Amino acid sequence: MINRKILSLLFSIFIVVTLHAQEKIIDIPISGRFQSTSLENFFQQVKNEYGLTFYYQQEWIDSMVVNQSFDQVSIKNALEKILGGTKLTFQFFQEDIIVVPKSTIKEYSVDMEQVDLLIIGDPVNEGRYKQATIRGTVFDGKNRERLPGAVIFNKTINEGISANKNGDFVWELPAGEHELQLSFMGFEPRNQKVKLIENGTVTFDLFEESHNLAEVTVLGEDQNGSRSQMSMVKVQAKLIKELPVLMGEADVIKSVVMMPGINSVGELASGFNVRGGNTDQNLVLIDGAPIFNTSHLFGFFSMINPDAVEDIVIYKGGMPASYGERVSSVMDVKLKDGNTETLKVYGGLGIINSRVTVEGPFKKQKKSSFLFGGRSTYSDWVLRQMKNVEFQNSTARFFDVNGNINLNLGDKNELKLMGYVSGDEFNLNSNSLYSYDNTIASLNWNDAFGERVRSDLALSYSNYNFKLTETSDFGADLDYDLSTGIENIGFKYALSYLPNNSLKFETGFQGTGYRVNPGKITPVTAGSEIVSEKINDEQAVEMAGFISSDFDLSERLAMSVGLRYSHFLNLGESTVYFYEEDKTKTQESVTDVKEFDKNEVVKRYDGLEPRVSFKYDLTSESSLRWSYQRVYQYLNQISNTSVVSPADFWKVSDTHLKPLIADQLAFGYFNNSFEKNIEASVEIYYKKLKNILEYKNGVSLVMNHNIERDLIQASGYSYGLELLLKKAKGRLNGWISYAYSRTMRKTDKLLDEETINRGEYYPSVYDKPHDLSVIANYQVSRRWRLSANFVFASGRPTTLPELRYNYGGEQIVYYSDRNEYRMPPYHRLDFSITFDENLRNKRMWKGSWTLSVYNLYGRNNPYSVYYLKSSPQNLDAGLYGLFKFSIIGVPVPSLTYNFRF
Amino acid sequence: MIKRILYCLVILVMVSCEDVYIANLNESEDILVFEARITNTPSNNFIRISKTTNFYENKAAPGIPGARISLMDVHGGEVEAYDNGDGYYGLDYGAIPGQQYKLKINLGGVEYESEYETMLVAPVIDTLKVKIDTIKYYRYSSFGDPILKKFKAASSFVDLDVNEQISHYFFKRKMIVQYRIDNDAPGFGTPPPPYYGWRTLPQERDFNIAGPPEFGSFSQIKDHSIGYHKNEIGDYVDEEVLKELGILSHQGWVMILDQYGISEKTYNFYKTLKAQLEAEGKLFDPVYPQIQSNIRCVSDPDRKVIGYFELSSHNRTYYYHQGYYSAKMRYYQFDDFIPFPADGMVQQNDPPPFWEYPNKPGRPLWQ
Repeated sequence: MINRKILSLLFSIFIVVTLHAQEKIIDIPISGRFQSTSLENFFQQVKNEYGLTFYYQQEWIDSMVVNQSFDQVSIKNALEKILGGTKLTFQFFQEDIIVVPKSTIKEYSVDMEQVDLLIIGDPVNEGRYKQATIRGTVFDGKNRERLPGAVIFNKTINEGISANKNGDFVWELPAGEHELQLSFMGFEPRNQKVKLIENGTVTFDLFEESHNLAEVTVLGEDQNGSRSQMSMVKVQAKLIKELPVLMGEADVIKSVVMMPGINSVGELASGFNVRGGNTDQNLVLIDGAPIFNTSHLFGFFSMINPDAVEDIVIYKGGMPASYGERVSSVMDVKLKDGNTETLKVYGGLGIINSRVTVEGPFKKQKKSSFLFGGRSTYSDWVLRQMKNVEFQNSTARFFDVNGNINLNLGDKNELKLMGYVSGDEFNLNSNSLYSYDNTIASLNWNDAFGERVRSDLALSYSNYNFKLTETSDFGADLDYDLSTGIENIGFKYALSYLPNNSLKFETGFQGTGYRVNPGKITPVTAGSEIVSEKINDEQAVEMAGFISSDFDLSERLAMSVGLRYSHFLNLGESTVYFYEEDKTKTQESVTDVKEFDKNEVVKRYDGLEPRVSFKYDLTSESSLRWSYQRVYQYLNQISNTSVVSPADFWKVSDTHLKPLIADQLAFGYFNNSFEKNIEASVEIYYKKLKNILEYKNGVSLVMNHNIERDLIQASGYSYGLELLLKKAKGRLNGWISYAYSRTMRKTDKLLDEETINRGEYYPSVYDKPHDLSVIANYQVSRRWRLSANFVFASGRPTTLPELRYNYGGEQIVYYSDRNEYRMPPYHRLDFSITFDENLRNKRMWKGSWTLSVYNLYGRNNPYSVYYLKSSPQNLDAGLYGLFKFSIIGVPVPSLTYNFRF
Repeated sequence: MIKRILYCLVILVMVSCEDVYIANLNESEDILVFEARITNTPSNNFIRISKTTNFYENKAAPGIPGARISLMDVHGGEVEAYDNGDGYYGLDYGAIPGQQYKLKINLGGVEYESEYETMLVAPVIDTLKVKIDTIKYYRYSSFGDPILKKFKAASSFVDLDVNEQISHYFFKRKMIVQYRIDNDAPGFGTPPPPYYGWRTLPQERDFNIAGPPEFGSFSQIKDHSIGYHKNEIGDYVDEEVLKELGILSHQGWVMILDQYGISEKTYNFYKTLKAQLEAEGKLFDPVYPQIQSNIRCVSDPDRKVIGYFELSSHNRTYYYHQGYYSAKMRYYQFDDFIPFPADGMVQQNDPPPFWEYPNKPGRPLWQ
């Protein structure tokens, strides 16, 4: 039986929830004759017939009997009749009813105002200390799982902090009384008065709201960043699952592109662009291990199973010194730890794929847990059923399996192992079969030395292989496989020290080894006429050391400084050609050839990467922030397709290909009003890039033994303004994000062949000046939820034919300057409605149906505009046409069933 | 039912759309276009000068006469071209294999020059084959049902040598269909003479180029298709008219094949042209390349010029094959080709002198 105090506490926590919950339950009509029925039996009968559970203490209802008849009387009225003249009363909570003595309600109302006072420290020591430190952990009260990133706001001093990834926080505060407000996405906020006498440890439990409201947390202060952190976006798993999506499959990448400054490359395109950067300028990490291809099914889905994701943090700027390697962004995907209390199974059934995840403890209460999940598609089978022969002749399938094991090696020692394997295969009605696979693994060991020192060791492995099997119409002896790939092994060790709440040091080092297969041709059949051919593997090592500190310069001014030093070595075995200066690199301009032995240093680059950021608090809710960062990138993706293709291969910096260097300045105004439940931010940035990769006109990049002869290095800049307005809680919540940005490039060399647009600035292919996203979620009732999002983006720059002429009897076109034109703007409205089958905690099986419509008004958004040998416009003049190709030009409904038990 | 819904949903997604796109293009200044092919066959040489027009301009730009054009070799030798009108120029010179030449053009006092190109050896065909193929393609009904369309055609293939001297080829072919209609024999007297008809088909305009497969070391290009032609007479002449005249008793094909030996650079130039014409804007299509010129303006290096000076070896050959389908169907080659007059038909006892047929006097014995 639940004792009186606990019941009282339950009331104090859940009272707000009940206001919503009551709305429907109170109207449930009951019928029946109850003559001399004990109250306990009455409760049991109602439970059996109507599924309503009553909570009470046996002693309160002993000897109470019911003598009533009800005919379609609401449960509320029935209970009022039964309990009306007694000392008991009742309250609704979710689908349950709590029966308590009337006096409890009085106590509760007092509690709500005053909240239980939590005394930290020995009262004997009261007044002895001016400052004291609270060490706390925030838990999910239901299953005792830690809540990483929970926000603790101190209403007394108008300051807030966030719990770290383990739900822990350390906060040095003036001794005395404080009113804390604890909140976490999807959980009821909790107010807690604290009397701080001396250093102490506390735990807080938060309880889920009765309904799921999508929220996104865009944090300036978080365990992942410094207190002056800006240009960072954090997306919680819950948001990812609740946005309306194509084919009903939640998608990590498609969720983050709703944030300001992050753009989608396009429909059916993998990757994303951050502040105008190329897709290869984003470092995507899963539990610390890099991913080199983020998509399944040529861009239909992201490679990350949304069920396995805890949260995603993206640094668009102001990157902590512990991160580097890519100049545009770092996207750090944290996978969920397995549930430490109970075994859970959940998943979803979609139109072309399904997924399932299992998680649980190895042993109850031992805090070591596992999580395994997988996804697979039946799109191949669906394609076979198509009428369209092109689809019948196509192949499209993928799978992925992910898993992690968390070993709790004591209170301060935690080991996490992660593994991921995926495979893709597709063929779009052609002789080309594309296949690729990813194998990723990581080990993360977190160790806390004492109270204020913590170390993180991460080991990672990532292997991406691509294969194109080309079959010939002229016989199998001309069939061949073209393979490319990249293998990456890395380690990172970071040590952080927090002497007090306003000072933090972090230092560490990391090393990454790359082995790149730029291309290999192998015959498919024995005795083939195809001769095996291979471009030498590239090997390289990138090392970095970093140090940073966050500290308060004054009460209002906080600063973070960091320095990263990166050192890159391109290693043999390789053959390097040297060319005449000031001449186009061709066979004719070769001056020398040098052979390098295995592991011999071919080329060395290094650079200092300073990071600085400031935060000035204007008020307790608003601040100004400024940041500067420099990042070196030694790895590029080689591509001459308009969107990233799985066939694009990677290349490390070498004698001729210098590292990409980006300097970025950002300035922002942030306003996070906890009280008003509104968050707003404005950021402006300017980014300067050096040694961007471009390509000579019409070059062939595949199996190119001297690719340096076809590459151009350009410079460029990006600038932009980003706005975000968010309402995170309430029945209606969501956000509006808008970005105005430009990304320009220019070739520096004066040689004709290495000059684009006469050496003038031209827009990058990812230059989309306007980008607007509006996301809205509305909780209609406890079970019904509506979501909608609208996106608008300027069209992508494109090169169009401006002139035409006859050559060889054909009409040929002469294209404009590169990216002189712009495709029509992209806009789309998506909508979804979700129905939760039941919300009862005791019900094992919990299911929900989501009906979503992608591209609700059927906009024909352009994927490409191209010149085609077809005459749509003027046959007499022999004029061929310009066509616009849209991938998805119709509304696409989908129905998904998600379950958990 | 659920299955049907599933299909519909997936179809909705997968049905990508292709629409005509009207772009708001800038008006651009016209650019000079040079198209020059110089070979070892003087009658095959030509240079054409024209201009570009704006993309949505309805009229084609006329040729530009009045240029002074000469072919120069590395030793200073120079042959001047003559003006054929309408922007076309001829050159009465057969380029010599192994020699290097460049083209020099003076138009209105402005000088243009090509790069030096090397003349290749004359190309030969190793083997020419013709076989019956079933060409298949799909059309879709208004309900989306695929309808298989197929027809029989005679496909022609060649095997070609790949060696240090020559490895890339370009083909142009002209097909002439011939047919003979025999009158029904009357009850008495001599039968009226048969009809001999012929028709020249429009020249195939595709850039038919051949090069060794991309990966590997090859001594031969095998089974390179030089095109196909349908064998149904009704596709070329009115069958009803033929039936009124009598019975189709013979059908055959004359093929005039121009084979060019081209450099790898020229092969890549044509490959780019083909890529531009065959672009479909689909997933993972490469960025469209601008066609590069090997001719530049010497007087003003910043002036844009389009065009290509192609120096290729040439060989013209004539073939005939009978117009019926059989395992024995094959080409035979002949040298004394007599040009066919414009499309027509004559009624006479003997075939016209240009008429080609099996066992024609002077031909190899047809078996």
